[in-house]
Amino acid sequence: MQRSTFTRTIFTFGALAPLRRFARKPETIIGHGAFRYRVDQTWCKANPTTHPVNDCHEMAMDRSGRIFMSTNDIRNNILIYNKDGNVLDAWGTEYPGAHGLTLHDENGTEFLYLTDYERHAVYKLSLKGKLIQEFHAPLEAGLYQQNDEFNPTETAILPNGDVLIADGYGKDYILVYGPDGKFKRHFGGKGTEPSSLNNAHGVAVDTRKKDQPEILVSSRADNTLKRYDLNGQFLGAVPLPGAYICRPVLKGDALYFAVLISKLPWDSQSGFVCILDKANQLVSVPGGSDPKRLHDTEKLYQTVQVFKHPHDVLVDADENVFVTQWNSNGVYPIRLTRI
Amino acid sequence: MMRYLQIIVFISCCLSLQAQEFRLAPPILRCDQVFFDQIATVRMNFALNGAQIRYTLDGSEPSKTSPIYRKPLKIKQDATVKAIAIHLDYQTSTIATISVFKKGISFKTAPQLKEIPAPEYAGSKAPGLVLTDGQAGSEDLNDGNWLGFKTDLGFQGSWDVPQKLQSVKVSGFTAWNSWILPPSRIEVWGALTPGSWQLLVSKAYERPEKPLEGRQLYKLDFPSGDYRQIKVIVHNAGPLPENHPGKGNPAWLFVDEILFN
Repeated sequence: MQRSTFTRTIFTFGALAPLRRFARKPETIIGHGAFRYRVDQTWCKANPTTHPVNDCHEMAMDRSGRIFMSTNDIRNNILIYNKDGNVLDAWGTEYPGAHGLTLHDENGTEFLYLTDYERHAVYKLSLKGKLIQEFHAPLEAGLYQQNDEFNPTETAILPNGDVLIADGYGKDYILVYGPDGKFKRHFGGKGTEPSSLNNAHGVAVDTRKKDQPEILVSSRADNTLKRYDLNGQFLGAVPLPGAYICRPVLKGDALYFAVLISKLPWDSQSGFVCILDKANQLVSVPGGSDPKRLHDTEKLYQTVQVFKHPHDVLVDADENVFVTQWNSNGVYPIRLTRI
Repeated sequence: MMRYLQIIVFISCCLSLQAQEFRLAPPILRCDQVFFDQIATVRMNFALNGAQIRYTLDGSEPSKTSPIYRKPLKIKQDATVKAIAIHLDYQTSTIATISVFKKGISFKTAPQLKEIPAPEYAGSKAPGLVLTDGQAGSEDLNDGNWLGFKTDLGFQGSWDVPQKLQSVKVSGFTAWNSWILPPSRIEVWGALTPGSWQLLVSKAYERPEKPLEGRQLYKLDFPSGDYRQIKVIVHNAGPLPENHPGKGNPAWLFVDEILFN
């Protein structure tokens, strides 16, 4: 009797073991403290044959909650998703270096600013893809000899309507243009000064301190965020050793960004996401090392290989985070659902 | 009694049905010095709650039954430390490796090099010193501790009094995508009276389809003997091979230290 029960037990185990491969995948929770997320790799319902992607660069959300995403696949440079990850529309066939994507509400009308490092220009577009305005290298200012030294990666719009362009794959200047497209001034640029920028990949306007808005720039190769006032005067640096920061993204009191890699080489597949609080202190690192367990000078690093090369984050109204990735076998955005 | 066993086994079956979706990244291994006098300290980090680091010291592959890392390791001999991160909810990481080496006999006068390193990778001091200062190069090949050559590397050093030698270790770097290949051959020559050179050892290195990346140590042993002069010739791999994107172009040879024991 005993033996037969035991045999049955063993058989139960034996019979179930092969089922393992069909097992439902467990939930993966990443992040720290108050910023923890469930990983959803199947959020995006796009079909790669009809909506192909190469690098998925950046995202922006319009008033109605549609998510715009830029990719350097010229079959559809912009994909538009609803909140459930279904593709609503796609356009754009002439932006081989489609990269930075910023949405700006201009007196009630929304526009996209798309940078193209291959065409050495920034394009202001309607949400349907109609070209409104172009921005080129300010050759007359003497900063550039040729147009192709200008390889813009990001834009941000100042409260007064001026357009900031980060030349992140070029000379690492932040260039300031008037709304009319006229070049006004610049700051940053390559170098070793505290105010210098090296791989000025992303720029954003930080309005978390009501009376003192700031410009935040990622000096990606320095693993540092640099702070400037609205005139481009350097205010300070937020060093984040190990974090190759793509672009700062602000939502509520928090600062989010994708970390492309945490060690060289550039294709090391060692990226994750970071979240900083209002005082620019690291509070959560989804996919990376627990900030509470890091020593002061210790570099951040990847712990769980959820991401390969995260390139941008978008935070929705419920504070879920969407992550696009560069050089990751054409993977669509991953959703991190806040728990 | 059996009923309990049955229940326990059934529950473990159910738990084991949970497939692990993601893999862990390898743990972070660091040492205070790659080339050490008496003791090297190796530290391991992996800041993920519930994770363990397990390691080996003899170069073998660590497994889930290898020792658990709890505190910094004190190492007194040449060692290759390998470690993995493990966690119930994730697939085990790939292996992280770090090697540390005991320093050798030093030189009073700076050794000479036959070839001049490429100007962009010429080191932060006299080339002969860069290779014998006990300073290891980092992953930044411009850190002043590496010498880079598109040619062979011919090293020659001497001592006032004869030194007992039995091995030479050449510490190099390999990065396939940066066109940095392992040497094709290394020769060691010695002389007890100046100029009376004899070949102590010559070793050819077969190049695999894709060589191992990062720091590599080439150890050459020879019968123990007394020498006042020593010459080490590290041969460049030559033109990049057919299966390399830059085929036909000269390969780089990178070395940061040569150790004499």
